[in-house]
Amino acid sequence: MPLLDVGVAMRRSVLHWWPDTRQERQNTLKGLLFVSPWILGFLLFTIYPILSSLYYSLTLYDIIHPPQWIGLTNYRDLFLRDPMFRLVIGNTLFFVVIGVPAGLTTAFLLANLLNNSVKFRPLFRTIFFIPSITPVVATAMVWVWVYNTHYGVINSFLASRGLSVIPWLSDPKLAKPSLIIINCWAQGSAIVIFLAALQDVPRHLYDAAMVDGANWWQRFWHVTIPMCTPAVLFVMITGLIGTFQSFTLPWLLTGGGPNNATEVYALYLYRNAFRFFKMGYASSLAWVLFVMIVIFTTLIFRTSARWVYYGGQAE
Amino acid sequence: MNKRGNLTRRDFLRLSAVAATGVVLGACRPAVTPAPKPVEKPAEKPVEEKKPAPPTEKVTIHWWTGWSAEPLGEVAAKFSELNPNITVNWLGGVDQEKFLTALAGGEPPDAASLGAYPELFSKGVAMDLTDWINASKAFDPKDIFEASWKGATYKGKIYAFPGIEGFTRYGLCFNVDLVKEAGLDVANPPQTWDEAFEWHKALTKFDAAGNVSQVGLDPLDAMGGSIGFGDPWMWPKSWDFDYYDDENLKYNIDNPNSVEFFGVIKKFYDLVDAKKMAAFRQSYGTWTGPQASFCTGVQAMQINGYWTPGEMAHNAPTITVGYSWIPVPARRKGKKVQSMGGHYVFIPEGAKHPEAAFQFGEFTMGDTACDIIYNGLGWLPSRKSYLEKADISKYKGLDWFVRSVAEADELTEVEMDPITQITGNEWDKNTQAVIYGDKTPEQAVKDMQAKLTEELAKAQLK
Repeated sequence: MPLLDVGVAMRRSVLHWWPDTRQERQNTLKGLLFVSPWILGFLLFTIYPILSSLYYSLTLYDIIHPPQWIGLTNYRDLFLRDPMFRLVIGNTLFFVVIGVPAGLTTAFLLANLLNNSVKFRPLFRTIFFIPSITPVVATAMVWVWVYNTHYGVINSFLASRGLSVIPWLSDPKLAKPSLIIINCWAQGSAIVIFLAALQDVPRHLYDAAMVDGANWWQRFWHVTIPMCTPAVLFVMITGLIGTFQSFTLPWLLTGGGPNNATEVYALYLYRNAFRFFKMGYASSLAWVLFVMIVIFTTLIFRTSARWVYYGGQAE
Repeated sequence: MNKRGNLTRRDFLRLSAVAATGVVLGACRPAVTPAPKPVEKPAEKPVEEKKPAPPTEKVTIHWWTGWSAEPLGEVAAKFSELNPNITVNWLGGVDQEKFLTALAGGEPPDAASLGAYPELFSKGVAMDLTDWINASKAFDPKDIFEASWKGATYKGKIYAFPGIEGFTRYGLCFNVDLVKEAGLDVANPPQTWDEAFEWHKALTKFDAAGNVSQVGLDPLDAMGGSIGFGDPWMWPKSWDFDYYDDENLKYNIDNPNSVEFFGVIKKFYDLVDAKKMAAFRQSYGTWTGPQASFCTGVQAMQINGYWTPGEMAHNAPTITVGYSWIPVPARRKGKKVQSMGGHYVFIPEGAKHPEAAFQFGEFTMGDTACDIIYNGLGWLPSRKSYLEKADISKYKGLDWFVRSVAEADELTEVEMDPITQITGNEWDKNTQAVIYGDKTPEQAVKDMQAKLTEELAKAQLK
């Protein structure tokens, strides 16, 4: 766009945006004054670091020496020369493609169970919610013991029966599923969201379905699930973003092993930044991760029109 | 065109584009680069003036260490007590991220004992202390083991005090009772890797279901797997070659010796099964913590350093430990291999009070600090005169490590590898690939050599 056009557009926009009356201007200034701490914080501590990381991704930068401009070399190396990049993408996608649906399904089914009028329902709800408010480090420590081959609850039982123990975290084939199990266990927040959605399903829809002779499965499939799809969309998007960025559990439980089986994207990014003194390369990894998350989120949003039902919308 | 005077989407996008371009250009200015502040080097001063002058006003200096052990705080407190003009503010448990962030922000501590020293020295993180140390009257440089000085020196310049701790790294430690129980001769411990493997076979036990209940030797436990952070890489030392040539900046990993030791490690793991060995390590933990396999009596042998007698006395007082030389290849049978390593006190570039920090560094080399650390932690310094006066009999077996310095055929030091942490990562990655059968030893050493050569070329060195 010609620079002149941009200038004209800016002036016009600013002029139209600025209030006409003195009172309105005063109100606007006061409003801006009140939100300015947030705006400044946002610009300094969010926007500036984000844009700095974009710049650093185009440099050779070890934190200690000044960055050297190398253009797109980091990105070229990532895509064409780094076998670890492909490996961590594969591992991360495994968690996204298998782990996110597994966690979502578990949370939805548990929410359905907890939505029934069972005895001690508030107690069960609390029990299922506790893992999501427990610090991840504490969760990891608990699971280190659960999965322990010598002292762990499952393996102790197996060993006491003369059976072979299960190397949950030391078998490259089992390590990823073991982490997914923990993810399914810590779905308290998603359960609460699904519970709210389930309680919002109009009762008359079930009544109508029952009058039509629908059994429980048909009611679940044709009434419950469609009415909860907005919540499913929300949980899926947040779960996907969280899984792409997952760091703490693999770091604490496996350190990326065994044999790189759980070396996920964020671990590799961290190692490059703070262990290998490759902040420029780590920044390029961060931007590629951002683009991947945007692509996956956009894809889900684009397809959501086909499977998400918002109450009251026209067929 | 917008006739109502509201901001249209197109207008908004135009404004955003202009604003974003402005911020990007602003962010690209070289002035924002958080480079460490240059510090005047003392090298240009005449010899008499090289020793830093003690501060005339009261100053507070900050000393960051990687460990959070309380005796280090006592060292700082004692120095502050003896030097009223300088207060040392000690912060323990500092990781590399915190240190690098402080450095990038231009607010490093005045003294630090953390990180991968060769990497930090080669990148210019630490101040050149050569002249100040040479002019120091606080200690005699000849009283320090040469190997320890080598670990503090990069390209002929001294960057740190060999303080805190710095002594022998290797010994084959074995559980005497388990060895006797297996019918092996404690008076004749294995000298070669083949003999060590025979002991490993005799000492490894499985239950009826095939679960491992006792391991002979995990060759990657403790110093067997360690590299960097003050520790030399044991395997090349055992095979008697330097994996890194710091004069010509070249790696020498792709060679038959490396192939051989990767093969030895695999053989030890294959006997137990890689998955079971990894599970065993995860279950008990490594090194000499209270729950570690060696301390709980389910691992019979371990390659570990001079701190083992002290840590075993605290964490497993009922276990009797024997000590011997680390195994070597059969063709080198009888060779006694030992190596020094250790930790340092360095002054980061950009430190606010380098003179006061230097005075504190000198103090860490003296008897008072060494006593606090040895009595509190069992760590020994690299000072020969202190070893003569310290009560070595305090920990059973420590005398073997002290004697080993004089008896060793080969006494080596930490390699000044400028990308130690990448080397450590490649070592870990490739040993796992070999152990789990994804790579042959030949492929692993080739990959390691290629990767490290490529990374060294990219590293921003001094």
